[in-house]
Parts: sequence; C-alpha cells; structure tokens
Amino acid sequence: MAENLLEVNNLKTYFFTRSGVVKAVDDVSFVIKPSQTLGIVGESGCGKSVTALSIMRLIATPPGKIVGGEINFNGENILEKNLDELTDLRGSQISMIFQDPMTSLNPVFTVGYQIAETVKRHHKDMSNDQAWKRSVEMLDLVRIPDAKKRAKSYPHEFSGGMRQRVMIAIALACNPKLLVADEPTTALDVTIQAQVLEPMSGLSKEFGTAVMLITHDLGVVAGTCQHVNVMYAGHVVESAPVKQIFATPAHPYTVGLLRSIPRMDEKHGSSLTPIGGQPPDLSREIIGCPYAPRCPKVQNRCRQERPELKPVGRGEQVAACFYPD
Amino acid sequence: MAQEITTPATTGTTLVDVKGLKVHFPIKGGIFNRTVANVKAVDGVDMFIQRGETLGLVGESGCGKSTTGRAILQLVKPTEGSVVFEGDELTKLSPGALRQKRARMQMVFQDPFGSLDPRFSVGELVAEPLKNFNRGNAKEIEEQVADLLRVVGLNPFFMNRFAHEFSGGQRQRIGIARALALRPSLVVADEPVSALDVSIQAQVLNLLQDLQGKFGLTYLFVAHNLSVVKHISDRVAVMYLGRVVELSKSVEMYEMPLHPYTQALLSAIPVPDPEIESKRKRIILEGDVPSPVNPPSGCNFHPRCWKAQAVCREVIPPLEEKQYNHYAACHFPG
Amino acid sequence: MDTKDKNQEITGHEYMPPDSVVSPLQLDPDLTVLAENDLATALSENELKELAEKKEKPATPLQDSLRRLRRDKRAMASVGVIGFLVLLAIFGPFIYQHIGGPYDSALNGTISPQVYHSYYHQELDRQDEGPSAQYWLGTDDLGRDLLARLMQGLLISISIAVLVEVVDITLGILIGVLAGFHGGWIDQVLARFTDIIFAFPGLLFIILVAGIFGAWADTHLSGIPIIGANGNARLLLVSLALAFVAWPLMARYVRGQTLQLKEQQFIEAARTAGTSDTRIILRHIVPNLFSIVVVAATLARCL
Repeated sequence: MAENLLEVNNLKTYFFTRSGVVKAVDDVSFVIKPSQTLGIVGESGCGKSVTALSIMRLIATPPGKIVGGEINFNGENILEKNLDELTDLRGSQISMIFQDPMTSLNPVFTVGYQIAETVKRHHKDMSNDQAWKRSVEMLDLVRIPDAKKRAKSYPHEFSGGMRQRVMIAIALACNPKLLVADEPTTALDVTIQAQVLEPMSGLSKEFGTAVMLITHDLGVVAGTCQHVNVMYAGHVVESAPVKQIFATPAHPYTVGLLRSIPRMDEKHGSSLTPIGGQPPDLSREIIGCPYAPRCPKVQNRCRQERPELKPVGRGEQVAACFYPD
Repeated sequence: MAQEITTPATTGTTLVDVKGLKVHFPIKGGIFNRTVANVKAVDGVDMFIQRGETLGLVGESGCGKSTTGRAILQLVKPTEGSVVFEGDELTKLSPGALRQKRARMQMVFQDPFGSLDPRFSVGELVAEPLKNFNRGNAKEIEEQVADLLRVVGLNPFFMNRFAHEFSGGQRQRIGIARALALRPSLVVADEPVSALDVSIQAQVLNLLQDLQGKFGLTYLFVAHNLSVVKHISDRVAVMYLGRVVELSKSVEMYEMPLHPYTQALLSAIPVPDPEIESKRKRIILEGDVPSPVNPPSGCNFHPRCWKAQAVCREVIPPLEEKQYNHYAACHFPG
Repeated sequence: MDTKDKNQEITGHEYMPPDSVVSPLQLDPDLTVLAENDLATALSENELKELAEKKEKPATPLQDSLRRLRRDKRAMASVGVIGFLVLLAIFGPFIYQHIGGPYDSALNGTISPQVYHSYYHQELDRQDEGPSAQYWLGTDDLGRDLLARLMQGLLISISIAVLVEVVDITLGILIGVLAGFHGGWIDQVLARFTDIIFAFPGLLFIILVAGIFGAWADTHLSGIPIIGANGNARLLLVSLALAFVAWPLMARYVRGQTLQLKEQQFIEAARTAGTSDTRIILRHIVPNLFSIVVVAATLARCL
C-alpha cells in the first residue's frame, strides 16, 4: 500500500473541568492507510469519540484542548491549519457522520438541497442543476428508493435508518479521502443497522474512501473493519488486523471484552466472564497500566510503569501489555 | 389471535398467562379533543410464562415489547385482554388489591439514571418498597436493606450515598436490590443492560442469573439485543408491530427460526468473529417498520416479507404450535 | 451501551463513577463469582475507613447546591446585601429611634429622636433638607426623615413579597401538582382560570381591589391584633390581590414540571414498589419541584 493517509502521533486531548484535568485521549498514535477501514472500539469514556473529534478539530474549547501530538493528513499537520483551511478540508477531504441521525440534518431544508449545498461548497464552479443531479445520484447510491422524488422530501419524512443513509450520502458526496463514523448504528435497530452498514462499506470500497469506524459493538467491527484499535482509558491498548484481534487477542482487556459479550453462536448455558470493577477516573493521575486494577494477570510491574505498544510477534499486532497472551 | 395457547403439562406450572392483550394509546385531535386514531402499541398478544423460567421478549424499537411488559404489571392499563398472575385476573383487581399484588411482581428498569429518585439515598431507595408494605420496624428494615445490598454485590457501607455517586452498573444493582426487596415471584426486566457498557453488561447478566436460582425468580426479560436474550432466556418470544410472531425454546428459535421476520432479525445480528462474518449471508429487509397507527392488513409483516402471498394480506395468521412447543404466527413458516 | 458516550467524554469527570465503590469485602460467600470479579476494585479495610472519614456525611442534593452557592463569591455577596436589607428593615427603625439627643423644635417643642426619627413625624420648617447629623439622609417635602421612611418602605416591600410568595408557592404547588398529576377537570379548570388571569391586566386588578375593598379592610380587619392599625390591613389586601394574580403562573410551571416528572422512570419505579399516589406526590414529586419553584418564585412578574 501507499504511504499513510492519516497519521496520528502522540495525540493528547485533555478536558479542563472543575474537578480536575480529564485526560480523555492520552498519547494516542495510529495510522490509517488509503481505503482502509479502521475500527476503534472501547467503552464509554475510553476516548474513542474524542479521538474522532480531535481529528476533525471539533473539540469544544473550553473545556477541551488538544495539548500535544500531531495529526498528519496527507502529510500535512491538521493541528497547524487555520480555520479557513480547516473548513476546506472538512467535507471535501475528511467528513464525519454522527451517532444521532435525528439531529444531524437541518429540518427546514429538503435532503436533496442539503446534499447539493455540501457539493457546491467544495465545487464552486458547479451549477445548481449539476449539484442537484449529484445529490440524487448519491441518494440512489445509498439505496434510498425512488431517489429522484425523495430528494425533495424533508428530513422528518425519513425514518432513522434512512436519515443515517442520507448522512452517509452527504458525507461521501465530495469523494472525501477519509470518513469518520462515530457510532453510526448505535441508535438504530439491528435490521436497520444492516441497511446502513452495507452501503457504507460498499461505497467506501467503491470510492476508495478510508473509514474510521468508532463503535462499541464488536460484532460490527468483525463484519466491517480491516484493522482494529482497542482503546481503554484514553490509550490504545491493542492494535491489530481484525482477524488477529478476534482469533488471538493479546491484551487482557481485549480478551476480557470478548469473553464478556454474549454471542449469537455460543452454546446454550455457557456463562459470561465479566470484567470486574469500573474503568478508572481519568481526572486522577494513573500510575502504571490503566487496566491494572481490573486485570486478572496483574503483576507488580503493571502498577508501577505504563506499558508501551509493542509487537507481540504476530505480524502487525501490537499490544500495550507487559504480559500479553 | 384465535388460537388458544395451553400450557404443556410436561413443563413447570404457568405463573403468568396473557391472552389477547391489547394496549391502544389514543391520539387526540380536533377542536373537541376527540380520539382521532389509536397507536396500537400492543395488538393482541398471547403468551405464558412458566414458574422459574426466563422468557425473553425481543423485537425492534416500537414493536410494543416494553408496553407488553408494563401491561402485564398493570403499569399501563390494557385496552383489552386478560393477564392472569398467580391465579388472579390482574385487569379486574381493585386499585387496593392491585397494590397488594405488587409485592409479588416487580420490575427492573432500563435507565439506571432515571429510575432512581435523585433525592433518595441508596438506603432509602431500597427501603421504599419495604416501608410501603410495613415489613418491619426501622431497624429491621435497615438490616434487610443491608442484606439486599450485599446480595447484589454492593457494600452496605454506602447506604447513605446518593445514586448519582454511583456508576451505571452499580445503579442497576441498586435497582435490582429494590426489585428483590419484597421477594417477588415475577420480575419484569425491561432492557436492564442496554444502557450499560459491554464489560459491565456481563456483570449484571450474571447477577440476574445468580439471583434467579437463589430467590426462585421468574423473569420476563425484555430486550432488543438478541445475543443477550439468547444468553439469558429459556424461551424466547419475538414481537413485531404489537404481536408475538414466534415463541419457542431459545435454542430452537436460534437454530431453526420459523417466522421470516425472526429469520431476518437473526441474520442481521453481527457476530464478533470475522471468519463467520465474511461468510454469512444477510437477509436485508426492505423498508422500515410500518406505523402502529395504521398497521398493514392481515399479517402485518407482509409488506416487508419475501414470502408474502395474497392470503398474507387478508388473513391474520394466528400464533399456532407449528412444531412441538414451537409457536409461530405465519402462513408459510419455515 | 454508550449512547451517552459523547457527553461523558466531554464533560469528563462529572460522569465518572467514584472509584471502587463496590467492595467485595463483606460479600455473601455464595456469590463467589461476583466477589472474584469485583476483587479488582477491592479496597482494604483501612482505605474504606479513610474514605469514610474524608466524606463523613454524603451530601444531599440540597447540601450540594448550598455548598456550590457558598463557593460562588457573587452569589454570596448578593446574599449579604439581601440579609443586610432585611436586618435593616426589621431592626433599623428601632435602633435609629434611639440615636441622637432631644431636639428643640420651633413648632413642636422639645422632641426626642423617637419622635423626629419616626417615619411619619413632620417637621414642617425643615423641608427638603440634605443629609445632616440629625437627618442622616435628609428630609422630604413635608419635613419627614427620609432614612426612617426608607426603612419603613423596605419593611413594607419585604413583608408584601414574603406574604405573596408564601400564598403563591402554597397555592401554586398544591393546584399545579394536582392538575399535573391527575389531569382531568382540575387541569381544565386551572387552564381556563390561568387564561383569564393572563388576559386580565393584573395591575388594574390590584388597584381595583385596593380601591373597592380598601376602606372596608381598614375598618373591619384592623381590629384583629396581628394585623393592627396603620394601614396594615390594606397591605394584607394588596398582598393577597398580588398573590391571587401570581399563583396561576406558578401553578402552570409546577404543572408542567409535574407532567415531566410523572414520565420519569423513578415515578414508575415507585409505583411498582407499591407506593401510594399520595406518597408518590409528597415524597417523589414535590421535593423534585424545588428547583423550578425557586426559579419561578424569583422571576419578575408581569404586572
């Protein structure tokens, strides 16, 4: 593959709250290659959404602030860009879809108009007709039935799943190189979830768009992603191609996660092995491995120093653990 | 739903028997505030729950599963139909008698944040049902509360704390302690883990299973997550648009679903295994769930069903025993 | 699942659980599975004690907000000003009347400060004076002490405000909760009545009441000891008239909030626990109305 599309190096995004500094993302590094689908999994508060918002430079300041690191997109550091350059970048090069399809669309404009607007913002020379044609074409691509007619409908006339597909249409309308999808199916039912995921992965393959898919659902990851980052307490604790994550998980947290979810294909009567305890309070200083208090394999060393991501001897797989599986 | 379901003699005794349950919410409109339409949230549900089992009730949002759970507990007044619980017809009980009956049937709620009054301490929350039913003096109640908290894995030391100081999983434990306080026989668990993080979900599921054996509980487990329901249930009922479309042992349901909707639902669930995922064929349903205000005629799944024939548009398929203990409401099952 | 993910991450710490509240130390031995799982968050007995000492009494929501209030410097300054005004209104006149020596008035002979520092005494040859040692804030055009009148006015304003709020809050909560909780005819009557009150100019109503019943109140009510003479009866009348036009708005706020609370899961949870309606209202609804009532009571009335 060619060089990396996105390189995140030592990203640190902190929130300065009354009760202390919350290190939501603390020293996170990863890469996305062109047309690769990267999954980021973790529980709430692990920093996966903040990572996405940092890449989009959408962190609300205050209380949040990117305090360190660099985000190189196509070789340029996003963190050094000014607002105008960012606006050009967002939508045309990187676009994002959010969890809640109900509030992401403007209720007073037709969906066709909203797609056309996005297209025209980034292609100033395009005529209204061309832009409208493009939006009908996009709606058709995300499998909205009768796209020509539906382009004239307002968001409230669409169901949740269709709205999320409209969001995908808007996001992909300008052929971005990277699509950041933050829990795109969490608010949807399973049968609708499939209606959204299929066009998303299908189109990204067709257009060669790289996708950064943020989710807590390991099933979605297994079906959609090529590479997976597992995040815990603001750190990436494991990163590996999708098959290896599920077949030979190395970090105890990944192992714990996989053991704690009920699966459709499990035998009846098998029991779950939950991870005990709670994720740590990120506003407190964490010494050692953040997972140490919940880890079944914890040793003294884990409580004293923080493990770095290291290859665990299986190709591209890396894990931040002194005693990986 | 003409067909009556009878309890098979070979299994446990029936604890709850639901027949023809309907819950319609009126939509008021016009100048005179007349009822212009009805949201048919539950539209003819038949099922039974056996003593000591866990019956899973699954379906997508808006299918009426939560309303069914609430209607069984009479938290929502059923429009029609009967709910027999421990031999009493609940729909005909007086408010006073129903309040007494509440000690026997409890609920665990979905929202660990909204279901606990923010102005009550943990101790007060768990003590509330005990006080309502005068289960002892202040000291005895406090002892019971401490026991209950221990049972759900919380330290009674934190009895004076307020719910907002706890995490979602811990709050759900408080809710469970409250539900167990009166030693009920039936617990309706309405999406008890769907608001929790994956690693915490397993803790709560295991706790529920432990407690079932310990307290001899019968669960009606309402959830949209089929993997979770499969894990915890002995039998599963699948709902679509206000009706039960399939009801069977959970193993059978997952191995050999009879109703096309169940088949589509099961095929849509992602499995956390890339090997399996890459090989699986998905049945992607066209369109969305129709509005419960104007459900389609006949079998209400027919507009999305790939097997639909003329008869499906006209005749409502009854929930029938298609195979031994395996009920389905479909003209062309299998 | 984490539908609340974004919120949580952004507001960070506020949503984070207190670390390790679960302790398996005193767990039922039967539940070994659980105990094992929670071992990770175990606290030693010492740590528990330490935690207990650090936070001896857990804060109720009220204590919590009071603590926050105390930390807010501007709010505390405002509380100080209001406190000062209240003290001034209650004790000011009494103290002021004991300050200063006798005064040889050309018109009234020798008078003590109790006389010339009273709010009604007219010293007609000393009209419109500026501040002086005798009259701290000067006099008005009838030669009356301005400071004494100011403090008296303060007392009147404060007592009207308190009276109005007491009646307003009591009626507003009572009727608002009933209308919101039970709906039906109470709700309908409240809605129509509020509409009438909103449509009717409140100020006009108060003037009318004071004008029509003022004289009657003076003659009939001033006999009651606690009211007494000096136009207090009229004051009471005006307060009641004010409260009468104010409570429907309060009742509407309360009704709205009650409707919202009624939908909260903890109300349903209370009902499941066998709590009676009366108890649900008194224990779950009314305490949770506190914040809205405080806000509504302080809002300026459109009079």
